Amino acid sequence: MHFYLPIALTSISLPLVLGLGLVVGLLSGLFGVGGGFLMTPLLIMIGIPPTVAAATDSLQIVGASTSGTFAHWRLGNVDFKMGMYLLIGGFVGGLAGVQLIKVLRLMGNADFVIKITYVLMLGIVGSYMFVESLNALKRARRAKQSQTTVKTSTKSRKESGFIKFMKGLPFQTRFNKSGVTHSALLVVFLGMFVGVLAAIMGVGGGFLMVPVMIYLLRMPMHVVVGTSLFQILFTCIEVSFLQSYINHTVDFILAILLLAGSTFGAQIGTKLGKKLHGDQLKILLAMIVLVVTAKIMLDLLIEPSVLLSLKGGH
Amino acid sequence: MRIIKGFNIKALLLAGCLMLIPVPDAFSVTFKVSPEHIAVDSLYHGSRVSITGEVGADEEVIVKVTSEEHKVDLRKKGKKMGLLWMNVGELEIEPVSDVYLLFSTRDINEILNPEQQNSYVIGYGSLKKIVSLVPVSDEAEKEKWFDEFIKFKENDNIYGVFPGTIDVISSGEEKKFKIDVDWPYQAPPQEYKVSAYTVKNGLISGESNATLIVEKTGALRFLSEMAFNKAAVYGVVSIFIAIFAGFIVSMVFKGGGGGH
Repeated sequence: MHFYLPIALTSISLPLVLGLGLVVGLLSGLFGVGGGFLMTPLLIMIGIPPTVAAATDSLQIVGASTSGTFAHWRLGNVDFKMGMYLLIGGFVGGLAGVQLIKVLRLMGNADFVIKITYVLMLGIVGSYMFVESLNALKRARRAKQSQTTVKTSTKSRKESGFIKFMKGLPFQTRFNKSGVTHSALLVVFLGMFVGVLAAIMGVGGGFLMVPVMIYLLRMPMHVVVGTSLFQILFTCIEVSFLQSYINHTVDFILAILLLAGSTFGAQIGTKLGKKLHGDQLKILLAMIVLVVTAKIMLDLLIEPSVLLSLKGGH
Repeated sequence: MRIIKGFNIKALLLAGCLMLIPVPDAFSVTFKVSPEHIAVDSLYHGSRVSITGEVGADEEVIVKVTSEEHKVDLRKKGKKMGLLWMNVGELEIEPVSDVYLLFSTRDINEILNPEQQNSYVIGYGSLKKIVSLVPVSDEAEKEKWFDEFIKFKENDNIYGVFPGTIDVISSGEEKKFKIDVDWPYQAPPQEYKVSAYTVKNGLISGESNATLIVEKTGALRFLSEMAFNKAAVYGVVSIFIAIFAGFIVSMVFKGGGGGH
């Protein structure tokens, strides 16, 4: 069975698009990532124009992250205060990133910077998370009697200097749900940092925000997932509206079909996440990020079969 | 219609008499496109279009499907640092049609001379002569990127040259041609021009045109018009529906006893 899409102007297989939604929604509920870094290239691969793929994906993420945020909120896993601070930073960073892209485009090397940033960020984040989680799992296995928590696993000796620095910053604020105290300035700054990178790469930034929350803000993994989804929800609402209003590139039918899969996937992911340990979740996410990095690297190294694409998208 | 001053009455009478004498219309081809209208609804996945017509005893047939020509903006991929494939620039190509499908009884190079191919823009070779590509430094680069453009379009099934696909059926002295076209769903909804040519001794002996309309209908048309004409409402409604869908699914799962 096929559906014709009114904005993408192409026909797609119903089981295929439902399956895509389900898988990406599952990852969203499991790890607190929007899944844009996976979904947008997959949509382009099945024939959706790049501009429509990116814009529609943001609307799909609105639905999936609503589903995921509610599920995590019921489990008490959403730190609304932390989410709001990061959101403010992310909004400012997003605006700055868009301006930066404009400058890079004028200089004529925007695409090169975007691709290299993408591969480097994914590669570094994926490798770091993988090694760190693997070590944590090994430590946990060695000390079987003591249950390893996310807090203990992130309290590495390397970070102690950084923690001291963070504690010295002004506007120290207590985030009860996460059980941490940080400078509000630091949280907003980190939000900005992710916002800039997300705008440059044209993605929501969940896969960057999650490691920032785990390693720099030292939040417990399960609160990280819920809070990240909460923040992604608002970012994607803004993006979806702008894409609909300015570019007319949101395909409602495609978004609904993806949502049919992803909202259920997000619920399954949330429940599955409850059964997994924080470090197990991290290592799984790290592996997915590394597979995506490898795929992008291959795409960069192998000559494409078609050397032209429609202007628009990323 | 223009009226020529001083046009004498004898000439008018002569013209009137000539009109009464039945002469074969050498420049028109009797043919039919069926259906003439394709409705694009939510379950649309392409269609089948039948093109049938009459052809003279020793004539060949060419059918060309095109749409209104315009400029297309593309991105070029190339190697950066001698290693990485990525977008390296932009390419403007004009005037080109969204769709260019060419069917014939035989290879066009065997049945139609090159000058006539160029005059009627039949075949990729003649298409290349009329389009401009910007920026290209020389003819070799133009050729390379034109070929890439054709590959890009053929990949989407909206450009294609199909020799030997038109069947000619003889019944007595009459000959009829027929082709069933698998109309690609990738061809955007718009008006298409179907041109049928008969060819004799390497020259076009007849030409006629018909229209094929591919049009969005029902809910699909409503959504599409809303997205472009009431973009703010479309955006807000889409977001509310997405949030509502997420919320409902979340509630369904809670009802199922999963949450706590």
